[in-house]
Amino acid sequence: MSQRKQVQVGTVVSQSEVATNTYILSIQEPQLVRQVKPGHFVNVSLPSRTNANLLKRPFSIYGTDKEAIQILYKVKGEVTTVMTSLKRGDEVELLGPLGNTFTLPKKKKVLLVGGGIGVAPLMFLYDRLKMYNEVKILHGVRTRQEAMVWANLPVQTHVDEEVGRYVCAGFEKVIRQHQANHVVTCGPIPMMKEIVEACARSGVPCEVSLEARMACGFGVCLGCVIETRSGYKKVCSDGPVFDGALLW
Amino acid sequence: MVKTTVQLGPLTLQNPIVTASGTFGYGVEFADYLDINKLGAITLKSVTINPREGNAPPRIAETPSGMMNSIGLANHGIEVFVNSILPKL
Repeated sequence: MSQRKQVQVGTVVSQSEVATNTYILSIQEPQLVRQVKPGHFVNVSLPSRTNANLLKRPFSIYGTDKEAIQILYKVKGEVTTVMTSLKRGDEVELLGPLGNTFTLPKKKKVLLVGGGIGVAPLMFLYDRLKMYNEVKILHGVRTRQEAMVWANLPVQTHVDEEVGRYVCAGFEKVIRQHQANHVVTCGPIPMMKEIVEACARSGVPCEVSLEARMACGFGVCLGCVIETRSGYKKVCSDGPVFDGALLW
Repeated sequence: MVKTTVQLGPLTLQNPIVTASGTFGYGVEFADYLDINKLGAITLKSVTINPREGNAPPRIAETPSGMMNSIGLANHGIEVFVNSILPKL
């Protein structure tokens, strides 16, 4: 029998604001650190902030640091607003790891394309790909205030208001420039759709990581489905990673 | 030793712990999370004669006091349930 999963109670190690309204939250949970792979997500609730939410909130894994998992999140609603008040030592309930995982190719020229906070799971993926592949990361943000500092990482940031074009614009040319033969993207749906279609025209495989409102996180409630070429699929347990060709 | 068996109509349950309808899928999804054999019974989500895709998303919305959902009786149909899912329970 596989190891039984359960809600783990982790402890906040640190939290820092890395761009406007964008935070990295580190939560100590050694068992989870041993289990997580790129693409996985965790469902989070805040027992010390009981009014914040009933349903756990899904967050992808941004990375791991020693015995802590790291979540990169942007303040969007009540729960993420409350999350900014978490301090070292506060408890966080974590259910996971949940969902499927990214493909881990070898000897490929890989392009990772993140839109806004969608860059989060791609950085964990980058960490596991960099040894065996040539990897470039494109990060699209709306404003300069949302741009993050990527020290010593091969990240090219596109600021829409300054560059005047979206990170996905003319993506077939980007594929050619980088001679990419494996693409992974996470971000707004229109961005991912454009990238998937450009990859299809270029004959390059493309994986997509989706997010959705969900309740259980492991395939029971059927609340998080998305429409695909093969009918409805559950983002939580059929995904969150999908072959882009299945979607668009 | 406390006797926990209960009679539910013609059924004898090993204990009175029964999952609520609609909350427990087909049961097998929870096998990674708890020993489902310890339950008295499982109430399934709906199973219809023919498969149903269910409603178009969005299907759920959180409220200040709970959650509203409109799944649309999505299920694999009785044939898949009997042949593929029931043997796992």
